[in-house]
Amino acid sequence: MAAPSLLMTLDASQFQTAAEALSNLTIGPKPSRTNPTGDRRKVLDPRSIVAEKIVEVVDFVLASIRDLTPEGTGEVRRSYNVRRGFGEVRSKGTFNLVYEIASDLPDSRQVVVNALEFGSVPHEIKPVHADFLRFEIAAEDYAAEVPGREDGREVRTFVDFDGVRAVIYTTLVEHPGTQPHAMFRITAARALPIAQRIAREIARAVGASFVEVDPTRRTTS
Amino acid sequence: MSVPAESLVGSNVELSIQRFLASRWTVPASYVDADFDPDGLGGGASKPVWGALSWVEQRAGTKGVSLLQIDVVSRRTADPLARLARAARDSLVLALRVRSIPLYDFSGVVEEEDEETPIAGNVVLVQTADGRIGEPSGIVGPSPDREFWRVVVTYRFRLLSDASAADYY
Repeated sequence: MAAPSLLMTLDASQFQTAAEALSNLTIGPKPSRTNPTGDRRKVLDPRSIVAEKIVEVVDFVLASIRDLTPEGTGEVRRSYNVRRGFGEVRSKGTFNLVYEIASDLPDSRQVVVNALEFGSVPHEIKPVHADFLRFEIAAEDYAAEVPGREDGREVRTFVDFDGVRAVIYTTLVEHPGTQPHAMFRITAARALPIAQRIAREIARAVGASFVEVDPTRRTTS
Repeated sequence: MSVPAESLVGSNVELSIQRFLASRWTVPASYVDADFDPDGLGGGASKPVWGALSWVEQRAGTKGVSLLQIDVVSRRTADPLARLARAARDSLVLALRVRSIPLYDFSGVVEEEDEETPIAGNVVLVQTADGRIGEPSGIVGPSPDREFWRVVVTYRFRLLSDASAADYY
């Protein structure tokens, strides 16, 4: 199962359409400050405005994913990171801005992120690199019954019990499965209205910046 | 259009969706089937394929969305080529390929004979984040997960009253 990640793409063509609609201008062939064709079109690089605003969404997304991740050892919580890149080059020479939020854990540990996102089916855990599995549980959670014994399988279990904590050493754990925490999917659902609001703000800000440098507007007003 | 306040209770939304799913999807699933027992521990035969429902976000009715994760699970011993898992996945997608799900009020339902009351003027929309209606938000699998094939299907629901601009609250 592929490791979960959240991809935010700023579609350059849609963005351009929105900015043009708000500014009555055509965005030129290159995002440069001067227009080589010499007509009235002025072109700004909208990426600085976009980057400034999009940080808001990225911050929200990161905070939400961290918040929804169970604390555990904190390994997964600390591992989330944002990667920024440019997508495919479009015909007009503009770029799609892509932000990817994912866990930086090595591939061998991505299974943990997967299990937290999608949950896990009931399964058995057996020691691979040692003879016994070792874990601690609270005294009140300790049940006298030992997993696996009733169906005749050979399971060796030892308990080191000090009245407060019970340390279990065993050769088999019947894990009941985990509920999905769906950090990425819940965040995607929550971030959507925020992303839409910020997209509108970006389009408005870019549109306004075009209006300011439009010489025709200056002479007529 | 006025909507009674009780129609916005989250449990009504969840139960309405589960009721609808149970009436259209023939694969046994937890939370839909009260006698759900995939391993046959209660004495019946163990099931080769089943569904497991979990609500991961429950904000439909509060201007938000509800996310439902449905795991379609089959035993690799009984289903070596994951055909059963694929068939169950496809039948699930077909069962929920609807524009909306009727909303019922379950507050008066105590016993099995009690009937839920339909709520007029509001429905549950099945819609992905990018606006596609009647489709799942995500399908992952079938992928091998220990002795099982596992498909994770996510659905996104919201109330019609949440989707419209009018203020109901």
